Amino acid sequence: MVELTVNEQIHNIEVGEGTTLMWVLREVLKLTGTKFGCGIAQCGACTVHIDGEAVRSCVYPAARAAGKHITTIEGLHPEGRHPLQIAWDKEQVVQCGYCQSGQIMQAAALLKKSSNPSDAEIIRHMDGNICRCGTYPRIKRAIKRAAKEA
Amino acid sequence: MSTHLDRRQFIQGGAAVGLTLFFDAARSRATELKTEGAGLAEGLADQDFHPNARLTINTDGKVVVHIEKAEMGQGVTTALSQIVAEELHADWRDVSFTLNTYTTDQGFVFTASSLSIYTLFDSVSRAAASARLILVATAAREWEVEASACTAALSTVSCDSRQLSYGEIVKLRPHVRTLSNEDLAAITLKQPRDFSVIGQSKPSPHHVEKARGALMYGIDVSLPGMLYAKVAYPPSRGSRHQSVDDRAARQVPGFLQTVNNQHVVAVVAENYGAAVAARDALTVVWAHGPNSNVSTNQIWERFKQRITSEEGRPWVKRGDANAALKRADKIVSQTYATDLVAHLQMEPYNATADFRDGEMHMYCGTQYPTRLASQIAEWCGLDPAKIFIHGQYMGGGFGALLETEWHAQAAIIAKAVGRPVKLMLSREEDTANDCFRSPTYQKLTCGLTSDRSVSGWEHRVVSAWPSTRHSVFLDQNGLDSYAMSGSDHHYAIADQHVRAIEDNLGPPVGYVRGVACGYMFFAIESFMDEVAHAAQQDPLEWRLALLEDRPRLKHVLTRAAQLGGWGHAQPPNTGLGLSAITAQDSSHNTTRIGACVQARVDPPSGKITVEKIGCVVDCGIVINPNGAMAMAEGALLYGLSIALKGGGTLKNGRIVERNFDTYPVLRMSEVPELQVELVESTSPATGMGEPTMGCVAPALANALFAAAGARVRNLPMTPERVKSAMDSKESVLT
Repeated sequence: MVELTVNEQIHNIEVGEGTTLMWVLREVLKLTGTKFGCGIAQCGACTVHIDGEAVRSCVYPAARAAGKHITTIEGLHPEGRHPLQIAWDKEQVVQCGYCQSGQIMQAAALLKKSSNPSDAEIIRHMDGNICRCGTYPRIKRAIKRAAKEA
Repeated sequence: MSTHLDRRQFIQGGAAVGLTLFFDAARSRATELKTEGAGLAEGLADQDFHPNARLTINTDGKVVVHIEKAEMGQGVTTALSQIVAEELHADWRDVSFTLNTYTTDQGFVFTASSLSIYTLFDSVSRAAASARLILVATAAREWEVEASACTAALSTVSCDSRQLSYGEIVKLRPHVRTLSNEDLAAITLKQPRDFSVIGQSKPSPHHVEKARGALMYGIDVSLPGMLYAKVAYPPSRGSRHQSVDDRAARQVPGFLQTVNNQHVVAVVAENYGAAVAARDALTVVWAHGPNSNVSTNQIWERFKQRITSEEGRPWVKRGDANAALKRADKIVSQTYATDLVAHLQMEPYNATADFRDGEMHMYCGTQYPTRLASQIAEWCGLDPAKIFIHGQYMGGGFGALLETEWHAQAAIIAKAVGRPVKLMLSREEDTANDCFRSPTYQKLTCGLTSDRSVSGWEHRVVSAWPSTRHSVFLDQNGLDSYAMSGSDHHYAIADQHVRAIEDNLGPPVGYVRGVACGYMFFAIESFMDEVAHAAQQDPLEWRLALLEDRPRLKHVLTRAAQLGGWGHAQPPNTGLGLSAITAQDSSHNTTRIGACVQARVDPPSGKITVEKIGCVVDCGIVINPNGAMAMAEGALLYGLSIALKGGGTLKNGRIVERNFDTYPVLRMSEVPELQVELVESTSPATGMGEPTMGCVAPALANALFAAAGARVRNLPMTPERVKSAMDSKESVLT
């Protein structure tokens, strides 16, 4: 039994050896905003925060997250109105939307460290997150807008 | 599914199916909507007004648009809703939509080839307009005036000082009338200059939901008592299981059942992890299929042999190409090769199936519910009327979800276990079982006379055909237009001969975003540049001269060249390249695209940096400018990804690169500046989901030639291939 703190709520969960945090979030806690894309930390669709840092939950053992603060897209902002979520809407970023939870969680970690990131910083920080619809230019614009309007 | 339709019949047939569907006025979808929960619309009550199957209006005046198409981010839900709002004269704030549950009585339903708006614009407009006419007639009856004395605007009917909202009219119980095709055709629709909703960048409600991680996709479906299945996939496509030993699998905690029949070997377990472990513990003996040893090199060897022979079938035959080539003073001839391409939509294949009370309920994204239902009916021995496909929002599609086998396996497993079953493929399984874009090998030959005019054009294309498996999409001559589209280009060349040479040596192929446009225009537009250089002409002027009678295509090319800075001196190792394409097909659903790409090459490594893509698109009437721009941008970047990266290799009948670590796709650091313009037009609306993808690769290849004098005639244009071309000033094939 592992005690996981997800979006400020405590859950005691039976996790098998090697069970990744992503499967616990999605299939046990039904927090399905965190997405499965590759399973090998190559696409970023599963990005969540652990103690404020962006991590790929698809390779992160659930047991290792015990005692840490896990934040998913559902817990990023109580009303879903984080500056990035507002900017994502204003810039009409999404197409299929499947990767966007991960994109927003990745970007949120950036804005915590750098309140006004340059283009180069944004690209360096976001380059691990794949979007097959090709929304990258709008993602970049939305991050800059969020930084400005936050 | 055995009927063969030609392209024109097929498209018209699609529209006709639409009308039949829309005007089945007796059908009430209220119950379906209540149980579905997939859309954004609230449940509807029995006193709602169902003028036809396209829309419902409730007593509060809320309009619900029923969508049979798959939504995979292309915005079809918003665009169709806008068309309804326009002709219904509805207040946009009253309009919402819901995805239909597919049942086989709805006819032939698929979402592909950027056809939704092209085929539905007129019939959806008429469905909405006819509903408005009924509302107006009801108000007129209430007021005892002539309908012609009434006007409808913003969900309200007015006559002099009297007003009734659509909701109030619904309370008066309007009489539903079934209109004949003649009645429908007689309705006068708005002129484009009068549009107030079409042409506006209406946002999709999904933007907010998706940014909150709240939209449910197929992979998020969870049903009470649901079990998890994993399939044992064959080591190569076409291999069949001979024997299955599940003794070790039975020892895995959580294991429940092995399902073994002619269509699938799978285990079912209480959770996903147990299903994976039990599946991995199966010992399956496979009987290898005919192509189980095939490798990429074998395919190229065979394609090279076949292109030299007089094989294949004529696809375009205009004038006498042979005679014209013989008359020419100079012959230009080149070969182009493109590697196989995987779809790699972000959401891996998945489906949840629930067999209860003799009914099969499927919860999954699909672009082709008609085929899925017929496959389930056949595999499970079910009456098609007992199959319900609850289409889910999709994390990308790109043609991958036109395939249905992996979903149908979920159905057959659920029927065997008698409980809801969720089947999810890993990324590696998704890629290994994908139906790729075929590798292609193409040879183009063009004759030039001494006065620099074209004398004869020959084009041979060796590829596999996706429609050989999807035979309903073959034309009446048994040819696959989806494999050949674009080779019937718009250049004015009197004597042309295009031959289609089908070769199915590789694994099954499918439809990848853009389909033939993705490789056909790479060859044609690269070659057109080579011919221009051979004729010592400017590539822009050369093209424009051959497009003299194609003003729309000429315009987009001219404007794209301006956007891209054509004619301006470029920095070192940097060049501009052009392309002009017609997609999704050249004769019906034709979006015209001009592109000008600026690219820089790093000579020591051969690495390409794409600096800018200028792109001008004429897709006729633009329903939603922001949505159309999003599609244009997205498809450009999808095309750029294929042009630069990835491309699969086969070994023992199986793709080697099965995840993003070995099959790279475009990332943010590789995105150029995009400058996209949409042409203002009142011509009929054409597709936007795919077309721009096809303009990138050729314009990039042409830019590379301008930058470095090296011609890369292969896709993808990897640094190794660029380097090799630069070293030899000639591309090395494959």
